[in-house]
Amino acid sequence: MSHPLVPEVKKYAESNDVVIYMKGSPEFPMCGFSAKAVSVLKAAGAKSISGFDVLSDDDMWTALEELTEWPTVPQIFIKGKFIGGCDIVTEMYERGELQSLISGS
Amino acid sequence: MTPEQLKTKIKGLHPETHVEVTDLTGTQDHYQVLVVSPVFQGKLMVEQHKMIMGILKSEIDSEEVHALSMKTYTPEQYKKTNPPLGKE
Repeated sequence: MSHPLVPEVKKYAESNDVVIYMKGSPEFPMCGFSAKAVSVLKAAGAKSISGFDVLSDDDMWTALEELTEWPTVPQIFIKGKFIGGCDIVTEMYERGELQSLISGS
Repeated sequence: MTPEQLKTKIKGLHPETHVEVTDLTGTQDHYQVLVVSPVFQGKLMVEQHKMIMGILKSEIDSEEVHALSMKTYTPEQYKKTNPPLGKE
């Protein structure tokens, strides 16, 4: 039986074009990888980024990792789709793939 | 896990998979891998990475592989940004 909060994690992930589950917040990131992911998303053209601080809610953190089957944080969603962590969004940015995902072209 | 073992395991994805392995620390448990494979066709990068992590699940869970950074490409993507792959 999957974690009861998985639907909640999905709902939040779909609440904005660019959503990041991270340590801290986009304005005050509390980990280097989370901070880097936010700056890469901004560089790729993300206008508003919704951030969820996993440090503030262990249950949501557990449900998140069950949903995405991805072991680390930050975790980035674009238009409700799980895209990956810091390394992946950085690599996609360098290939120009992140920009087109965000602009939706 | 030795670089050769790692390379062989990842090549299990598909016969035409090209794999380059770098032992980042010389301790055979912090690796960077470049993987070019037709099986990545039409897949998001995170799905490509999950395929590799899936093949190495037991080594990752047992910490035999402690850190793994990956660069994944389809053959077409790789051609666009890199010199042709040497034949092995």
